[in-house]
Amino acid sequence: MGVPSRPDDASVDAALIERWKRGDQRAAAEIVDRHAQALARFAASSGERHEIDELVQDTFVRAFNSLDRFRADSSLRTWLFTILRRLVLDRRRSERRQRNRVELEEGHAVQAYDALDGLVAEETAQRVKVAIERLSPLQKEVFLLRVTEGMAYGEIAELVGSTEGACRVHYHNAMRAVKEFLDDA
Amino acid sequence: MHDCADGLMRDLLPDFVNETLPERERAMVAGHVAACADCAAEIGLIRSARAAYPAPPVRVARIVAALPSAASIEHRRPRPPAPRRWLVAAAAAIVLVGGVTVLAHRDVGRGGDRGTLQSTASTAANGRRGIGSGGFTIGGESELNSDQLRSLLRAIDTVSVLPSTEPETSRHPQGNQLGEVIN
Repeated sequence: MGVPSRPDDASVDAALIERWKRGDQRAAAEIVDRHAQALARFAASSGERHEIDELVQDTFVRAFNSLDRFRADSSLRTWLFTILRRLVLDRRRSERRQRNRVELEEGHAVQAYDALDGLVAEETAQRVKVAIERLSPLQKEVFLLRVTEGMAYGEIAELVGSTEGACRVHYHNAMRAVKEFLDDA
Repeated sequence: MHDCADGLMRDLLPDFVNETLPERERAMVAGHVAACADCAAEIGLIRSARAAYPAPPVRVARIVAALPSAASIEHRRPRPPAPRRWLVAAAAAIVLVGGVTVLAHRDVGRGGDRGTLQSTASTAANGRRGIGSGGFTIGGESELNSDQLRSLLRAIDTVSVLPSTEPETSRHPQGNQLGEVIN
């Protein structure tokens, strides 16, 4: 049995897109309002530390520039996450090239990590975060999309380019690994 | 921390925490979690994971201000190139020439029938003339004199039936089929 996604999401987004196409710019604001937070969290959980706001904005600008050609083969949410994910990957590639040219100062990564840790107040949450950060990149991505966004396995599979069954396995393996880490700690 | 044996229920826990379940399923999961310590602990873990990854602040108004309008995108979209005047003129000329040719051909066809009849009559007259004069042209290739033509017509008269392309069952004079005799 597939895990149900929000049943009204796709229809609400479709109606908003239609309104925007007819010239109602407030519909665009509603679309941004519905998805911006989740996209920002996804960007942050993907390891982005800086200019997340710009990343999210860039995602929406790109999406709206081709929104008139958007076909509802997938949900708008999955589509937005896919665009953001590509932007994150592009940014990482660009950073990697830059790193090859300019040697990164040692302190930068540590400072960013400390600053982010400061945002997490609760001790349990910090421990859980450490456990999640130890997962493989794919396990972590699947786990967080399921846990923080409540995405269905089918949506996650579409986003990460895998199958629904494989994503379910990744999620449960990740959950088991997190539990084991917390039990051992 | 242990895993609950009910895999279906565990699959629903993230949706329960995210409050995306329909009411009936939400009540079902809530009832299960109230009696299952493993699922209750897993829900606590999911909530902690969500707290560990808070959504960074996003300036929605700024994003919206940067978005294009549907009209501006429609305006930017490349349109199919307008047909050029010379292209239109060329197309019109082709249609005109084609139409005239068809009409002319049709007229020739009608006149052609008459022409064919006239031509046939003329050929027949020539033939008579040819026979009368002792010569006849076939396809303009060879010429037969009157005697040759008569013998040709007699030869044609002797051909009563054209051979059939269908094989026929032959019977041996003794009454057996040909195949039986051969075998």
